[in-house]
Amino acid sequence: MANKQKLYPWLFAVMACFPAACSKTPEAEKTSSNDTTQQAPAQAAETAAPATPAAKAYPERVFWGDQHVHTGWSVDAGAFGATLGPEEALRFARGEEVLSSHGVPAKLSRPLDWVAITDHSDAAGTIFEIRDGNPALMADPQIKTWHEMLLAGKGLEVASEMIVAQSNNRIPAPLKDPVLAMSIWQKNTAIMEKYNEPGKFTAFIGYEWTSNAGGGNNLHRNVIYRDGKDLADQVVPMTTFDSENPEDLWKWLADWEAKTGGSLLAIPHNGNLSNGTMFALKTFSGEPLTPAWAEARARWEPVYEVTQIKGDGETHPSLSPNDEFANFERWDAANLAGVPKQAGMLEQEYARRALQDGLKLEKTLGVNPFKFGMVGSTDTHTGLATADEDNFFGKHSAVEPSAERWEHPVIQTPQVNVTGWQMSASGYAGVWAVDNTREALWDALKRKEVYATTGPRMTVRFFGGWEYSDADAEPQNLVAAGYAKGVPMGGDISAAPAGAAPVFVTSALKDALGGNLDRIQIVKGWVDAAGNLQEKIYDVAWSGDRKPGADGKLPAVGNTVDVANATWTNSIGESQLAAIWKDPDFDAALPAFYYARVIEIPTPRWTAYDQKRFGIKMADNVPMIVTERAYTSPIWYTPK
Amino acid sequence: MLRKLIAEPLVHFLLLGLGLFVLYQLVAPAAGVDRKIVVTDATVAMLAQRYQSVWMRPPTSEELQALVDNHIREEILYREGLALGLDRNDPVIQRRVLQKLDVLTEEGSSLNAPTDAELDAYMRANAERYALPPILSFEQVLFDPIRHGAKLEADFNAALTQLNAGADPATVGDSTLLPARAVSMPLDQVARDYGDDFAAALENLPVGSWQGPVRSGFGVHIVRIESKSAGEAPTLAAVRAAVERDWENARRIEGREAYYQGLLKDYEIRIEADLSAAAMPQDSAAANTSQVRQ
Repeated sequence: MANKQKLYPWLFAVMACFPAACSKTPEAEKTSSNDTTQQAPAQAAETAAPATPAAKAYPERVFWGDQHVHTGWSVDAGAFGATLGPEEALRFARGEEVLSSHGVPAKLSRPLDWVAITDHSDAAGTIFEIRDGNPALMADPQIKTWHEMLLAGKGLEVASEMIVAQSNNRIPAPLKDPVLAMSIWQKNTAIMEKYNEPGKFTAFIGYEWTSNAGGGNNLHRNVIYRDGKDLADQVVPMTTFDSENPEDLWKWLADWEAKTGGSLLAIPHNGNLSNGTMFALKTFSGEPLTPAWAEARARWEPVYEVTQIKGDGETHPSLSPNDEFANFERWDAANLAGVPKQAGMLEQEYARRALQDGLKLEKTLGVNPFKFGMVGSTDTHTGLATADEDNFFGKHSAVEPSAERWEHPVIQTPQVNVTGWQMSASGYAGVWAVDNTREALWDALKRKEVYATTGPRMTVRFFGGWEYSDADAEPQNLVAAGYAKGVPMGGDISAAPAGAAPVFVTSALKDALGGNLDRIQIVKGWVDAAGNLQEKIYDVAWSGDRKPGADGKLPAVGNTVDVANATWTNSIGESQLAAIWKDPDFDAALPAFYYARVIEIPTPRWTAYDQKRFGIKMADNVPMIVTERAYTSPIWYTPK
Repeated sequence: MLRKLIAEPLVHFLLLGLGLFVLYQLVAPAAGVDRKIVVTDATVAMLAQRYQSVWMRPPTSEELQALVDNHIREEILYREGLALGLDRNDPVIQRRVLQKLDVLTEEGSSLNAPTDAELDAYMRANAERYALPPILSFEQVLFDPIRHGAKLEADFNAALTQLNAGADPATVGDSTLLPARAVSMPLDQVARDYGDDFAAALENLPVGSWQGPVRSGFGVHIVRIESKSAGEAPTLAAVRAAVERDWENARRIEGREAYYQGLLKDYEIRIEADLSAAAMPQDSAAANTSQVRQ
């Protein structure tokens, strides 16, 4: 009987680390040598998911979704020509074919498991209040007549009369009032309710609070509801007409929960377009941060959208000069209104630096305000949640596929030009939940058991603890042991046993339709004893028999991309990687965070597909190859 | 004569009128603006209600005063902006108006709930769409082509022989993060996890024996189907929510179209432009309509 072939024994060694070369610790040597000799126990095939959700001890499936989709109901999306509404966006996310705003048939390669349609809350009203007989409106005889006509099924006649009234400026005064914002919100929530099918497809109720404070500083947040229409309808979403201050949003969230008994969270995005304000080390009005501020931020914003069409936000080359994967899909010239960036702004815009600042702030405030997990999403304004390079419908409807979109301006001011080709076909959110329901997915977001990808649906696991053994990194053991002996991504470890260092087990399985995997890295950030921010990146698993060079760096995986034909082959890389890794530089006195980054082999970028599809030649500076990746939520170590 | 004219009260009156007219032209920023703003109890009630609907409590007296001040300010600026014609030829405003109209017409078309008979007829007319997928339970063993290289076929065939001779599947093939066994999985889920080709192949495999090769994005598999239920024709009870949703969506689109067609009848449309000169060349157009993957 043949022995089961071992999975990549070379993965278990602790290998390259940088910026400086470092030597293996005794623990790492032990881990390495043990593993290459130890035999995995032959055992019966693992059984798959138990039939009933109640029986699940831990999440067995990752649920793919996008928590950031705009439709024609968002004013800016509409202005760019988006005609698709929430229903079309939901149908598209569920895998159905819809016609794009330009009349082109559009379909995802695979359905998503969940979506949040987050149109801007700064919206106008409709006639629901009339139909439903809002007493505040019924005093007006004209409105009352329309109400009765609507109930009698004469909707079109009412529409015609309203249009005539509008054009003659005889619309009854009460209808002009912004209180009608409620009605479009109720229509929105009704649509979400209709498409939400627990166990099969989750349609979150949500909206985007779109603060561009100070003239284009992106402080946007998506508000995601755990509950349904009955609670969501009780209060009008907060708009930036009400306030542009995120602290007011948190207050609104708290008031909402107190009033309804429901649950909300907010997901910020595009710190890279905030001109130093997304992770500023002071309050909105410029005051020093307080413990209460830190508590509110950590409570309401457990997750950050780290990658999307308007650029990647993990880190920046100037912040992470030793990270050769840091220079990725950068939008770093200006804020959303094209106001150029100045020195000192980048430091307050990227996730990795914010995670480091959070550790430092915790020392003085007692609470880490930037203790967030990571997701990707699209922020599409087309209604089409596309993050695949070969099926990318663009930021908004003016840059849907065409021969010219690569040179179409996206942000244009006298100082700054952001051009179509700079759009990033990114990203999605992977959620480890026990079931595909609003409650289970929302709870996973809240506990940060989520990760970001730039589009590919790779399955990534990441666990941390003190007691993992080599056998726990075997595929058949990894998940059960991961949960039993430690915490998953988003979790906390503390109380280091004397002399011990934290151990992490991680695995990645490629997207069935995507590129092979190059490597898994663990990114560690901490604050040293002198109070300086530190980061280090460890390659913990990689494909092939590459050896780290003298500088500690692993050689590049290679490249099979044929740009002219927009193709690649999976003849390099691996379909799966797994590793167990013990921190060789651990100091039990210093707080730290660890997250896994999974790198794919190079594949054609959407620009290459466009070039091939339209038979055009783009300018030489336009990148044609992309290195897709996943970022897990961190695991935090806090000294007792 | 001139002196007499200057002394004439009627001339004074006319000159005074002319002066006022000129002055008015100079100071009035735009014509036709209603410059009276009356803040009534109803206005204040509206402002307070709006505040309450967002903040979940009534405004304080200071907040209310600020709301009223802001209302006056916005009303003045809005009226002046309208008088300047700033609302015309604005795509944002145009989109908003179209959106309101769409919602209005959609609402008018979907006020009545469908009857069971209507839903049943709709389901039958679109039966394929609601068919329940086959449900599969299967075991699989993976071979990664990169790991086996030139020996792939030999290794694979040897494993297939072993498995069909009763070998424990945990002892053959490559160690993999894929589940060794899938229980009661709908075929569409198999397609999501392994790709369409793999799912299509499984649908046609016999039950009970180890079969292969079956290809997926992960490599080459040997698969044993443990059980397979055929796809089923839908019943309204089982798929009612989906049918209702689609039925309403169809009514919504019809309602919108009917409204447009009704309006179109009353318009005279004349296209004077040369469309062929303005359109993109035929080649690009063909490329532009081939976006769909799969």
